Amino acid sequence: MLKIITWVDLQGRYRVTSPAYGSLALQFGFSEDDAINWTWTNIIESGLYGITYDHLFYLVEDADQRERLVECCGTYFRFAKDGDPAKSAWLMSDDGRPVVDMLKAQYIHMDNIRTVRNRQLEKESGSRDRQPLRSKPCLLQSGRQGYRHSEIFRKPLI
Amino acid sequence: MPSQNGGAHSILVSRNMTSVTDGGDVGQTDMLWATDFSGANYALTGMAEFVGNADIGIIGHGSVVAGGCTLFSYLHDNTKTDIDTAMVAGFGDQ
Repeated sequence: MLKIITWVDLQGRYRVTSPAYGSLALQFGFSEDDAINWTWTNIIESGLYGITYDHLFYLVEDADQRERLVECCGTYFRFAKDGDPAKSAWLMSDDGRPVVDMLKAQYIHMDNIRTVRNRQLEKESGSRDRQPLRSKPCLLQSGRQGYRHSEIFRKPLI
Repeated sequence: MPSQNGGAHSILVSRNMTSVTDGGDVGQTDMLWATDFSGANYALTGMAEFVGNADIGIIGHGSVVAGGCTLFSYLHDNTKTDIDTAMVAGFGDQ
């Protein structure tokens, strides 16, 4: 079974590289090891990712990776909806395969539920008014005895 | 040059390819050529396949350099998505 290369880029994103074994064997007569070596060298020397020769990478059997993907619920937790790589729930484990960070997975799952819920509420009511407001900083500070009106409300009462 | 996307993709058939890398973003695939083009001005064309999905897949490109390119796959509503199979060809001077 052929190996894939797994690594984490400088933005912290879990990446999977498949060497083109067939193409490299046909063009250059490369063995599997040659193809892996050529591929990783090419990734570094292309300069596309800004990584250097000491960058950590793993060789993972394709079948093992697919087995782990089932345990990770496919790629459901791989990317946050807003595209922020810091919120991706995938981490690289010691064997180079992905594992799910459960705290971040919670965020991704809740965000997906929120999106579906808002869409449904909008469909039912025909407006976005029923959707809860995005969380705002709480104006009422605990322990404080009094407030001025302008601190809480935008408009005067009269 | 078909390939698959989504955490364990594999290259089904290829010519003049070094590798395919995914994971930068949803629907993103980076492709590196074995023999580079002479510059970044070459033609790319592609198709996307979703098995069992009625949505039409669209392939667009991000950065293109002599040694490779970044592709994005979209649903018909312009949202990026990982696809089952991408078929891509590049034409140009080497």
